[in-house]
Amino acid sequence: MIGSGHYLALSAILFSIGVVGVLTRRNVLIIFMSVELMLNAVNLSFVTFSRFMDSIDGQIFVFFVMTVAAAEVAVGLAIIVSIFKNKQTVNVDRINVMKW
Amino acid sequence: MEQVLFYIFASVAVISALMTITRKNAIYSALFLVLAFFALAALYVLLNAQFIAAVQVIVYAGAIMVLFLFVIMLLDTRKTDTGEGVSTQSVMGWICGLILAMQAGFFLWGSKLASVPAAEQVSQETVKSLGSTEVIAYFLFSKYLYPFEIISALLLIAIVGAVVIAGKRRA
Repeated sequence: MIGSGHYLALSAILFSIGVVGVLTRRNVLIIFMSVELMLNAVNLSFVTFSRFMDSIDGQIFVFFVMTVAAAEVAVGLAIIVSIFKNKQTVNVDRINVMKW
Repeated sequence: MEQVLFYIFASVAVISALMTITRKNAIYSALFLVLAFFALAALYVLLNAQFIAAVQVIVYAGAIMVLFLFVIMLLDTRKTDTGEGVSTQSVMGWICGLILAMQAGFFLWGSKLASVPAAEQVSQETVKSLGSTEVIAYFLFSKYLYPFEIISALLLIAIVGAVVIAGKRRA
């Protein structure tokens, strides 16, 4: 039988992969995808705790996280499209107008 | 059986997540991310969260990733300089990620949370009914009714915001 440790370890691995993606890539779209991966890793933890602690609250929270992620993707991709229209690049090193 | 399925889907999820962050072409990254989301949906089924698994496939693998693919194809990033490559920053990024993973592993090692044996405290009937749509709907419309309404307002704001930001400039 698989215990909660396996699922939590998988969740930690996926979260770390997402962090590495954000830190190493320069393409803003792939950075955004890595953020989605991290959100999913946390969702896996929520569902694991929901299952092993016999509580529905974790799954409701996953539902809310997914909704917020959908809203975040809609607005974030709109910002990326808008930046690309102005600067013709998706390289985050070149998007530095707000750098002081 | 459950063990075999867990290891299959977990390895699919980890490998496709690694492919997501290493592919040069953003379209391949997006497609591997869809694969990772499908593997996670399968793991949700293993955890008796059937409703969440269905929502994962419909909302994440369906709606969100289709939006991503549309934007990637619309922007056509192959012609533009994405500034990728091995740099000091990327090496440091991998080191930081490894340290983070080791910290999480160290935390899990001595944690009580990680050693809850399956189906010991909870009866099988409760577990079976836990992830059902009926139970989730009951809590969503009673205990969590207020957050549910707030979320609908948030989605409306996101729609309006996306149209305003990405829409045509008037001036």
